[in-house]
Amino acid sequence: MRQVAVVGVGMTRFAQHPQRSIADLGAEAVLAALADAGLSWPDVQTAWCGAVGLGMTAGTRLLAELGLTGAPITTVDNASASGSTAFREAYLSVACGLYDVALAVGVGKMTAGGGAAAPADRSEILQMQAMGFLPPAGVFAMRTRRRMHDYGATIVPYARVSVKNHRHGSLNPFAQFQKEVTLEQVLQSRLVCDPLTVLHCCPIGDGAAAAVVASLPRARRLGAGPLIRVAASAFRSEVYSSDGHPGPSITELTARQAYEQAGAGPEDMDLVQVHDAFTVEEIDYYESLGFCRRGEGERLVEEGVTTIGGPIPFNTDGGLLARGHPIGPTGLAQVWETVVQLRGQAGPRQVEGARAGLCQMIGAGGVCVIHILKR
Amino acid sequence: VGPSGRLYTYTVVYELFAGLDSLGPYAVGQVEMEGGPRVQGLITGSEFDELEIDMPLELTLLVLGTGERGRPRVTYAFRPAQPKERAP
Repeated sequence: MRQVAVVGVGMTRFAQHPQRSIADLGAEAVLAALADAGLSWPDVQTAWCGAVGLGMTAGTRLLAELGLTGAPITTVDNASASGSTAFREAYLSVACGLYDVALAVGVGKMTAGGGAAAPADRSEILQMQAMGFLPPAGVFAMRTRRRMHDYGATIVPYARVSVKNHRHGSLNPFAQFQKEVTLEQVLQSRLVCDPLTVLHCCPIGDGAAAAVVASLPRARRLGAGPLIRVAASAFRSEVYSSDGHPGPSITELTARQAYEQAGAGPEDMDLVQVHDAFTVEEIDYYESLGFCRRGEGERLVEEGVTTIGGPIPFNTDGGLLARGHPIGPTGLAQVWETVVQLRGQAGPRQVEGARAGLCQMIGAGGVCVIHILKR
Repeated sequence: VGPSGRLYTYTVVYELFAGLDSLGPYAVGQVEMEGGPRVQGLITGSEFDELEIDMPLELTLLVLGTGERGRPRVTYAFRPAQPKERAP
């Protein structure tokens, strides 16, 4: 396999953009990534598009707006990990030697009903309740409740994840939420699924993000800025484990592969982006990614270890909680943030001297994608 | 799998869908069944603030409505374990 570099990144601000089309959002992100790379659309030899619920060949239709170049375009759906999967496929397209320049784009329009819509019939809703149906927040509320029981924690450390990530988001002009929240606001906001209030949950939004990858010789010819290499690309689906004998989590197993490929460990990372759709997830991933032992995650956020300025900042752009989570582009927003940080261009949220960053995404149905980027 | 177990974890759902008028909060739990798997279902017959991890629960049936040929449609749920009835 050949080495691959990220040569350009671009994204729209994540927000509720009800008036903007998918093509409009996607084009803004792709053109920004191409301009960042010093390339134009006909230079792209193959493209991968992460999109969920946007209809057949969403990527092909979106990119047709930029011109019909004949390049092969594939749309991938891996739930929340769709953008990360598109990035991995673009990386593999170049790593295997078939292409020198590949594009990954992700687009999402959750305000157009990409999320779960309520059935119109109230009796159907009552029936769902009787069957014990849970929205995603309910699943993570139960996980939070159990962690609090197992590790003697209150809701406060989970609320602190939200406070921290909103503070990071307030420093990111591309974040959906750019306002800090206080601990009291998190604790006293609207209860969604006990013990989680709405500020423990990521918002619904729209947006797009893109990255251009290239072979090292091609990247060197482009020449602008420091070379950012893809040091690892790991991707797994679930393996069976029974409730009585739980094995390592999918993130643990995927991280092992990623660290091995990169020839590095958690101690070598300078910043990390994870799937914090709900606050308990970030704390769980501190442990699964090897930054502390099981049961120590709450302490990390309480002690400020994972804040910008701390030893290992997590979700420096605000994470899903504040930067937002339009599903299709979210994994590529993580790549965008990591590249900006490794180039030293992150302004007020810059992690000093950052040379290696890890991006982790989980997708419903049971997938995990991890990339490690190194300067 | 026996008819009873212990509450492994739970939540009370206040908002099932964003922006939906509440049809009233409801409790859902995962129950570790005696000698068997962990099963998820609605919890009935308990005040929300009386729910507690490890509390004993037992299976009960809920009638959802009427199905084909007028037969009742039922599903399972959990309720706090009832004290055993004494033989007369």
